[in-house]
Amino acid sequence: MSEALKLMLTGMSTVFFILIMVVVLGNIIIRITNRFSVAVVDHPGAAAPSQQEINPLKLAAIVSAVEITTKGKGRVTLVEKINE
Amino acid sequence: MEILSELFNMTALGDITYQTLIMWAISFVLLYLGIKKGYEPLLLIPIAFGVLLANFPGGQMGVVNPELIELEGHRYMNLFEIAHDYGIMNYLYYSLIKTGLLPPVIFMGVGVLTDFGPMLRNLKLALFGAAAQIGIFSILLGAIAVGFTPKEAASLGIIGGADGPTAIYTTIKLAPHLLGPIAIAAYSYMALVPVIIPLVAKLFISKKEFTINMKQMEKQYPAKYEIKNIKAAKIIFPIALGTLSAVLVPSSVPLLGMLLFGNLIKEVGSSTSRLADAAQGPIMNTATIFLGLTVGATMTAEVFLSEKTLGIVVGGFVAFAISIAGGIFAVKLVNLFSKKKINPLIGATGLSAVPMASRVANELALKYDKKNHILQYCMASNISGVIGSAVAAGVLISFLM
Repeated sequence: MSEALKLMLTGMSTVFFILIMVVVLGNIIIRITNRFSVAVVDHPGAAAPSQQEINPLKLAAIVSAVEITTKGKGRVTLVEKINE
Repeated sequence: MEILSELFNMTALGDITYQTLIMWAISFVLLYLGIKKGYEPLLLIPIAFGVLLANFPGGQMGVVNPELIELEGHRYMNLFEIAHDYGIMNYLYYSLIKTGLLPPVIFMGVGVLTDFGPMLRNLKLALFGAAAQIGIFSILLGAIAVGFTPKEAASLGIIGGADGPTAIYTTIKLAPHLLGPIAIAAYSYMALVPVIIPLVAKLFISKKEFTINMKQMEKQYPAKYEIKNIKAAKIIFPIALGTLSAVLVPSSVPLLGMLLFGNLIKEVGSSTSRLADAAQGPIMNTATIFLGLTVGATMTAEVFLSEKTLGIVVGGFVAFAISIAGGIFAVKLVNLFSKKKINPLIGATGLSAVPMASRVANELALKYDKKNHILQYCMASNISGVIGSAVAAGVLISFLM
């Protein structure tokens, strides 16, 4: 039973340690990519005219959706907000 | 008369026992749940049909005890001999399951279907995926106390991780004789996530906590920095995490490594989309068929109809419930010290069962506040739960093997 208790403590500590490392690692990756990469979209120059008007997360979602549905063949060249 | 007697002997009628009938009944119930109720049909239907095949007397489709294929000097019969002596189901079982091949292959497909984006956007929530693994280790203790061996107890406990391939992989390594009941319990409880999560959540979460609005909290206490290039981060993440986990918990690599590989080929984009399509489509579907059938075929009457099966059914449920409660209480603990409150339902999704657990938690939050969409936050802890349960499995395997 004491062995099982030891295994429980070791197991939970390891799981927490690895997921803390995931958090640390994720933060490091985000900081590095923020520092060295420039574009939000994966096709440089695409959608440039409207980038200031649209939320970057929404833009990323649109680009991803186009890439998935067109299996990488489609390109987002312009994202424009239509005011009706 | 002699002809009639020979005809009777040719059929299986004389070999049908009451145990056979019980196993048929179990199979029919599982088929009903899979077909009519839609409980994890992709796996429950092959498993249920595998149970049926294994319990047709004389059909040679039931998986035999490993002792029968063991030769002197820690050697085993070759696959041709196994197929010749015990039939094709044993050939499939000993080549695909006993070797531990199929769960990592399925994990590769799961990796393609996984999006680490929500987790990267809400990294702190990933820690609840660790708290929700408490069910695994609590049941390990409890099962040892009631007479399971440590290896059996670990295989039972891993049901609390709510991850089918992880449960199967751990059981293959530690207690292969319990594979059938553990796989059935794991997938049945995963199918019952829409029932179990609300049940446990309503026990431990107050009405006020249910209405904690994550988006409002986000506005009040915004993140320190935004992610400028999520695509690059999502490509680097599986490579970095794979390297880190391989160094720290090498025994988790077969599962986690394949999951991260699957994720990488998806995130790279159009240049590897063919690989991603294959991994999440034909490969994963083929693996699922053979996994389901062979796991079902381990459930012969003599293996399944035992006291331990009852223990697994009860223990599996308790493990699930403790894992959900563990995540909820971890959130409550954080909320005690933090101004930025977190909806405890996010902790409840710290066990795997992706994405069903997140969907259920989101629907539950919407019942209390129609504008409180917490899906993306739940996905953060839900996905980290997949990593957490694979790490927990790695720890159990490396300590007990």
